[in-house]
Amino acid sequence: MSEVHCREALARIFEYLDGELAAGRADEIRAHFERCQRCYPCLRYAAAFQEMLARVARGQRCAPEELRARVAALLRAEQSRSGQG
Amino acid sequence: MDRLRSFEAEALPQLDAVYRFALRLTGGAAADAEDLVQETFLRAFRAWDQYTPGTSAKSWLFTICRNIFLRQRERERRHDEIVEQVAARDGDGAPSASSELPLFMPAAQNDPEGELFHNMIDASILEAIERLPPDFRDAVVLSDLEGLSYAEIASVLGIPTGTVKSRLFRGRRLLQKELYRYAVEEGYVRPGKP
Repeated sequence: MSEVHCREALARIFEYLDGELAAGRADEIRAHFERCQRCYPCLRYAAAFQEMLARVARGQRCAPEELRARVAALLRAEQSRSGQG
Repeated sequence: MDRLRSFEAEALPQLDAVYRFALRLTGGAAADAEDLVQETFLRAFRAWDQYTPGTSAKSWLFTICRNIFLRQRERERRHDEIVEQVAARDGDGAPSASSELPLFMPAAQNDPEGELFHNMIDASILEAIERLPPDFRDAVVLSDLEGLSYAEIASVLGIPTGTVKSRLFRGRRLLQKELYRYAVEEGYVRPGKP
């Protein structure tokens, strides 16, 4: 496993947390964070930041019910129109 | 397989997300956003055969929605001279991630457990997101609020994956900075040593 330095680990911190790194690469980055006393708090901090955003995402506004009904009606009309044509 | 039924099962559950996406495109104009949503679902339903079942219906719908919006706007502005905004955005040479730190360090050092993020009110966070420069905001919204992958964001926004990474990187950092500033103002955290 190749050595990962702080700069590289920090540059990849979001890709790591987002699960966007290839498995081997993610292992190398994880190993660095687990080992490095300076980088580990940064990982904790970034994770807390993204957990906050995930919480916000769960509470987001929804579409108005009436729009939902209109879209459903539109689709049924389109279905019967194309069914006949 | 019944077209309408499969569309209802896979595409319709994304209505809330598409509505939010449309609201952002229209700058919060609800009536325009609703029209955009209807048009998006109508087009999507007509093109349903082109959708690959099991792939991300959300990013597929976002792409359609954004294309409709952009085409409409282009039509509206063809005679104006403000068209450059969109075009100028695309060729941005964002600096590579490695030249910058991912975190707003004064905040991270002052509050390593990220306590401030626990106390922050959702509405304030959403406001701070809305105030980000649009390119960064779009990347943060699609990733952190809508849960799209980097590849999906790249296809929705029509930019390379590398650009998605750098916009996310810088957008999140900007957001941290902004939230920290807000938290200090509101007294959630004490201002750090310089």
